[in-house]
Amino acid sequence: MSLALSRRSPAPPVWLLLAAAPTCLLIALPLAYVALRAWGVGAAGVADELLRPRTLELLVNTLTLSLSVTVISAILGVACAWVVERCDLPGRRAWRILLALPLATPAFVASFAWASLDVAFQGMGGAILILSLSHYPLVYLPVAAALRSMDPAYEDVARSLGRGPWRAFFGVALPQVWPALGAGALLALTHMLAEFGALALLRVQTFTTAIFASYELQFDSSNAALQSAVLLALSLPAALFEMRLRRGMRFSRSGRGGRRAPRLLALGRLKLLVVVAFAVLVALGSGVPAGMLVYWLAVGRSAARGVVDIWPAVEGSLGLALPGALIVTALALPLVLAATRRRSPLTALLDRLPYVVHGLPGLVVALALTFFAIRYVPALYQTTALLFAAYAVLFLPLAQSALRASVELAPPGLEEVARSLGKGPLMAFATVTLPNILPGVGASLALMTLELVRELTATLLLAPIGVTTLATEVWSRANDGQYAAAAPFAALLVALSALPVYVFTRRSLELHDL
Amino acid sequence: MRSVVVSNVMKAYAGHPVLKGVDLAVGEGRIAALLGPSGCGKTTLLRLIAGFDRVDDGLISIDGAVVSGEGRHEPAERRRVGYVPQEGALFPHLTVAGNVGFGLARRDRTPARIAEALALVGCAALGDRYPHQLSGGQQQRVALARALAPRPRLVVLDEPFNGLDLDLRRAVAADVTATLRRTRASAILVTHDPEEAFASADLVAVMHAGRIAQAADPRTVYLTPASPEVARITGAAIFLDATVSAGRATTPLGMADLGAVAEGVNGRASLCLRPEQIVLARPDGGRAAKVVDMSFRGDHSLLTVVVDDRRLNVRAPAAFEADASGLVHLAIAGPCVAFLPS
Repeated sequence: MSLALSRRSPAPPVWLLLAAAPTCLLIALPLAYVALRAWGVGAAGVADELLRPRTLELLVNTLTLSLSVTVISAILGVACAWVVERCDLPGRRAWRILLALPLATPAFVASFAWASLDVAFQGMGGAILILSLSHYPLVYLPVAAALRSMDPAYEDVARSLGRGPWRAFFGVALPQVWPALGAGALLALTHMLAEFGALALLRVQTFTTAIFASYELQFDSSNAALQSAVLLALSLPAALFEMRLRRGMRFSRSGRGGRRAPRLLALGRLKLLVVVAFAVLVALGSGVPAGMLVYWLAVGRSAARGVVDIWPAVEGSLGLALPGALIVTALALPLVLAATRRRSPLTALLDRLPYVVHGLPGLVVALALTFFAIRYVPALYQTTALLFAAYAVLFLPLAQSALRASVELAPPGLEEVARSLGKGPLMAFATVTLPNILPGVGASLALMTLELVRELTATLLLAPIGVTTLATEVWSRANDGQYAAAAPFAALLVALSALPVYVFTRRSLELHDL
Repeated sequence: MRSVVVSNVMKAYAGHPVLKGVDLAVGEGRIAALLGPSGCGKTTLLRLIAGFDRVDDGLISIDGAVVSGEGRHEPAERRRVGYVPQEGALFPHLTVAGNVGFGLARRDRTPARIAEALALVGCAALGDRYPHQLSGGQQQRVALARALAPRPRLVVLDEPFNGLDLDLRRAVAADVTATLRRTRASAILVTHDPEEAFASADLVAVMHAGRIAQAADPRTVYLTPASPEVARITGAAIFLDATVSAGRATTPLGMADLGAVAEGVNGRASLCLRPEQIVLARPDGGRAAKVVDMSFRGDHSLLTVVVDDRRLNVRAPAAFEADASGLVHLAIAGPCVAFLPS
C-alpha cells in the first residue's frame, strides 16, 4: 500500500492541470489583493500602519484568543476521545454523539446564546470559554477516530513491557494519534484566526473585527488590506506546520490479520466523576445554546416577530448552499486526484495551496473578490457568481479532506487495470474511479452544504442585495441585540445542521472501523 | 520448576464460552506451541496469560506465584511477560532502537543493552531504521528483540509469522526458535500451522473447542493423537474402517499395527493413519489397488488409487511408472491409532 502511494510519476497530464487552473487562480486572488494594496500604500505606509500600538493590541488579542482556544480544545478533545474510546464509560455510544453536538451550533449562534444569557460573557474570557466549547469537537472527532482505528496491539505490547495504562497512552497511543490531534488542533487554530461573527457578537477586538470595522468606514481601505496581510502571516506558519505533519504521517497499521476490540480500562471510583464532568461539558457546550434558543423562541412567539422573514431566508440559504456545494466539490476533486495519483512537487503545491488560503478570514476573501470585481469585471459585482467564488476559496480544503480518504482508498491499480482493458484515462475515471469514490463525493457534498448554510462572513459581504440567509438574519438581528427576533433563524440553522452533523459524526467514527 | 501453570481456566465473551476449563503447564526454558484452528480459543488463552484480559474462573501462575485467579489480577505491565503480536506491531513512531529500548528501565536503556538485544536476533545494524523501512521478517525479529530486551519471565507469541511468505516464514520461525533457545526463555507460541508447532516446540498443546485436547511432545501428538480432532488438527489424517482384535487391526489395505487404542474400542473401529503410512508393497505383500490418476510433484509422484470404492492418495517415488495392469499393491507401515467408529 505505501509502495503504491509513494510512487511518483514525472508530470501530471494536461487535463488535470486544466481542471486545477481555475482553482489556483481563485486562490491567488486574495494574495494578489493583499500584495497590490500593500504596494499601493508603499513601504513607509506599510511600516506606519503595522507599527501602530493598535496593531500590537490586535495581535495580542488575536494570538491570546486563538492559542487559548486551540490549546483548550486540544486538551478537551484528546481527553474526551480517550475516555470514550478506551474506558468503560457507561453509555459510550450516546456520549460519542453528544460530545460532537457542539458542531451543530455555529460559533456565532453559540455566542449569541451566551451573550444573551449574560453580558458578562462578552469579552476575552467569555470568548475563550464559548469558542473552546464549540471547537473541541474538531479535535475530539479525528482523535477518537484515530484511536478506534489504531491496532490495540500497540498498547498491549506497551503494557507487556511494563508500562501502566497511563504511560502506555502517552508513550504509544498519543504519538500515533498525533497527526490526527495536530490536524484537528490546526483546524481549530485556523478557524479562530478566521472567526468573525462570534467575535463581533462577543465584542472582542481581533484582526477580523478590526478589518470589518475598517471596511465599514471606508470601502477600499488600505488598513483592511494590511491587517489582512498580518493575518495571512499568522496563518502561514500554521499551514506550513500542517503540511509537515501530514508528510510525517505513516500508516500505523499495515497488517492483514484481524483486529480485536481494545480492552476497556476500568474507571472504578472515577466513573461517577467522569460522567458528571461529561454531563457538565455537554450542558455547557450544547445545553446552554439550545436552552437560550428555546427561551428566546418562547419570548419571540409572544412577540410574533421575525417569523414572516423565515421563508425567504431558508430559500436564500439553500439556494446558495446547494449549488455552492456542487461547485466546491467539483473543483476539489481534480486537486485531490492530482495530489494522490500523480505525486510531484507541483501537484503537492496545488493540493496544499488551499490550506494556506484557508487561514484567511472569509472577510478578506470577500474584500479581495469585491476589489477585483469592481476594478476589472464590474458585471460580476453583486452576483452570486462572486459569492460562489468566495465559497470555493474558503471551503476547498474541507472538500479536499472529505474526498481524500476515499480517493486514497481506491487503489490506483484499479485504474491501471481499466487502462490495460482498453479504457482511456477519462473513461477509466468515469467507469472505475468515480464509482469507487462516490461515498467520499457524497460526504463532501453533505459537508459542504452544511458548512455553506452556516457560512456568515462572505455571505454577509457578497450576497446580492436583497438576498438573505438564515445566517445573515441571525447575525444582523443578534448584533442589534434583538435576541428574540434572531432566535427562530438560529433554531432553524441549528436544526438544519444537526442532521448532517449526526450523520457525519457516525461516519467519521465508524468508517475507521473497517 | 514450572514456569507457567494454567489450571481449569474459563473465559466467556458476551455469554459465549471460549475457554471451558484449560489446563496447561510449561516448564522453565521450554517452548510450548498452542496449536488449533481459528476460533478454538488459543489467542484468548494467550491474552489471559499475558494479563490483557481477566479469567472468569481458574488459576494462572507464573514462576510459582498466582497472577490470575483467586480474585487476583496482576496487570500486564507487572507480569514480565513479553508479547509478540501478529504482524509484530512495532511502534511506527520509534526507531528500531527506540522500540527495543521501550521496555527497559531508564537506567538500563543504554546503547549497549539495546545492541545486545538486537544482536540476539541478528539485526544489530538496523537500530536507526524505522519500522516501515524493514522487511516483514526483520519486523518480526525486532519485535522479538523488543520482547526479550527486558529479560521477561516468559515470552508469548501470537501467530507471529502469519504475515510472512511461506519460505520466509520457515526461516524466521527457525531463527526465532533458535533465539528463544539461546536465551533459555520460556515461551508460548500460538499457531495454526502444525509444521511450525512441531519444528519449534518442546510441547505441543492441541486446542479444540475451548479445551486442550492433548498436550505432549510433538512426536507423541503426531503419532498417537488422543482424538480424531487432534489427528486432523496436527496434519493430514486418513480414517479407515477396521476390525481390531488381538492387538492388530484388519483394514481394506491389510493388517496394521496399533500404537494406541482409544478407550472402549472393541471389534469395529475407525483406524487413523497418516498419508505417509500407506506405502507401495510387493505384489505378494499388499492389497491390490487401481491407479486412477497420477500427478508428478518433483520429489515424489502422487497416485490416486481406488480400494473398495474408496479413493486414497499415495505417495510414490518420483520415477514411479504404472505397469500395464494399472494396479499397485499397498500396505500400511508403522503403528496406527484405533478410535471408536464414527
